[in-house]
Amino acid sequence: MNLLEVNDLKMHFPIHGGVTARVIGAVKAVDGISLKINKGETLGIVGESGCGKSTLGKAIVRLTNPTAGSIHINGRDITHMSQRAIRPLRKQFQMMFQDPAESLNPRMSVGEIIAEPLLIQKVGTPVWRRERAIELLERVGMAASAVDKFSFEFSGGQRQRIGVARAIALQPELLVLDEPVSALDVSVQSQVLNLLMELQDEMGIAYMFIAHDLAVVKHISDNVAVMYLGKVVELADADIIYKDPKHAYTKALISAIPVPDPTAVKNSMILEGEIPSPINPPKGSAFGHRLNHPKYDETIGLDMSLVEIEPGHWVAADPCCLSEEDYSKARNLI
Amino acid sequence: MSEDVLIVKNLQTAFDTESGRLTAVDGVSFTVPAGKTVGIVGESGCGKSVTAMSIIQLLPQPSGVITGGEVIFKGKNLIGVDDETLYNIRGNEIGVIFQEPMTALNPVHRIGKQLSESLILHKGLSKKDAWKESIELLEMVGIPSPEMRVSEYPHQLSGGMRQRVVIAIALACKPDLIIADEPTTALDVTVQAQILDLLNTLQKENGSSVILITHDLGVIAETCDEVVVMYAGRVVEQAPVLNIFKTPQHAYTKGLLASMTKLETPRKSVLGTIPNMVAGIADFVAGCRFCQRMEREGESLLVRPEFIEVAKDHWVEACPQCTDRA
Repeated sequence: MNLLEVNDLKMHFPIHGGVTARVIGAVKAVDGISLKINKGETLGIVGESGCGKSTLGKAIVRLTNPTAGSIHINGRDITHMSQRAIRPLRKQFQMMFQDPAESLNPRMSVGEIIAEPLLIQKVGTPVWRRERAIELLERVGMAASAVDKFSFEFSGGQRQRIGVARAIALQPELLVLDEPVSALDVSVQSQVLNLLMELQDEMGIAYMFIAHDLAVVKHISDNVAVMYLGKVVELADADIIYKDPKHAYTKALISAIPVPDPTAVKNSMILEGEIPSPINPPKGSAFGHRLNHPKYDETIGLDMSLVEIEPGHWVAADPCCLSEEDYSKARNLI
Repeated sequence: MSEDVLIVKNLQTAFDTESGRLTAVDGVSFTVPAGKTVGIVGESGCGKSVTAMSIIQLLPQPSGVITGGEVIFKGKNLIGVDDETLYNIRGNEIGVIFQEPMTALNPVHRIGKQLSESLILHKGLSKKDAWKESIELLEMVGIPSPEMRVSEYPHQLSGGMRQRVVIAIALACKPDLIIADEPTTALDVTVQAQILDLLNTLQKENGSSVILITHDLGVIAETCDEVVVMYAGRVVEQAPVLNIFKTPQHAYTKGLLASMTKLETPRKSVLGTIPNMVAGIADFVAGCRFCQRMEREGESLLVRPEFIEVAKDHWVEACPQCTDRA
């Protein structure tokens, strides 16, 4: 059984307009995503801003109510559970946010912040919770004395460590990490990544690691899903997706990463344009539209679902974004 | 060999705060040769942006003060000159690209008006001609349908487009020096690649020199000729880009390079780190500040290490504990 199983998840936000504020459209932030995470594994989600990756994370931990589709955690369907019903289950899955300055309450001491999930779940006595907070602080590499200080007394990296301590306080099985290191300097970023990898080894937590930095995602993930405009366009083992990307968007993303070697011969394909608006997305292939691809017209109304083109390597059957050989293979699988 | 466009000598910049005067930039020196790109790299709070803002003297007032040193631009020291002279240089001979394109643009003025401003001021164009030239500038930075975009407001553009507008403003008067302060940090990788490519092309066309401030060594490797590595308000190493990547001398530079996550690093391997963090600005020691971070003790904390040339054009702050030089 998979720890997390998401099927055809959709998260649409209504747009209101006119005098009566009736619904005139929808932002299709997440538009039909299916994925799985096994126990103790990491799934990386990459994509540019506005592709819906954070919305996906929030929907999975049910901070929002999905429009359609289903989410199963440990086999239980949590898609439409009420917040009250879901609360005891939250021990199993936690979320950690991007900005450590904004996600920690400045009026609470670090000890209170870390112990809050324990308090909400009514675990232990106040004395025990404080001891546990100290234990967790030490586990994430901070001094026990931090327990009575406030989060603003710490640097960005240390605040992110506090965030990690809070997220693991209930020993969750799944942790959704939304851009956990993008606000940090490189030398501190690697400290936090090392810590996350250690914790995974020790506690067997599964991560859903959302980030825009491909090198970071590749480093920490077992599998990587590439998102474009609310959809997954490619999903494969982390090493394979970087060595043998099939989808044109994945290729473009990889070639856009600056290479830290001045002697490297760079043949980066410079993409034109930007990600289209999810309010009024192109009718056919979203990336084909950005590429101004000659086959774009063919894709209007075409079924471009993900297919397993090679064992464990899934890609959208999109004629604009695959080589001819890959596309005919993919088409036969639909 | 062409001359240097900019020479910064022993620049000192401080801020007056409630807890006294704090020195953010402590004796920084470097030169920018004509037509070259010099990268300044370092972590947040190392003084790289303050260095740039000191060059054009746009420090927060009244707290920011330049307490010493020289900034020689095209043979003339800019420190201590009157405001009039500075007005004529800023936006005209030195163009600035700021990090956050949303705050760098005025939300209540049309794009065209903001572009025309420096053209009218420095080149003496009429409003009408400036507007026309603005359209050409937008076209140059690759904005589609510029004649329409020119009369739009900043909020109508995407992040990448706004950054292109900021670049167009910086380049409007064909400056000799462009200061780009984290020009791509707020952007997505694919847009970052577009913007870096654009900067590169425009620099070649105009022959301007560029100071590129960034924390991303990948961006440095792809765009710069020379690199200045800053740590805690000082330059710890300065060299041609190849030397920085192939033969780094200072432990901080080495640490930065080792902390980077690269595509080639084996998956889930332990990444290199630099232990601890930068000390607070009020606690900086007089001696080697990287030794301070490494919690070393002794003489190296008391005396500032000399800045010596170890190979041609390769300079390093020669702390005996942070480099191999005794």
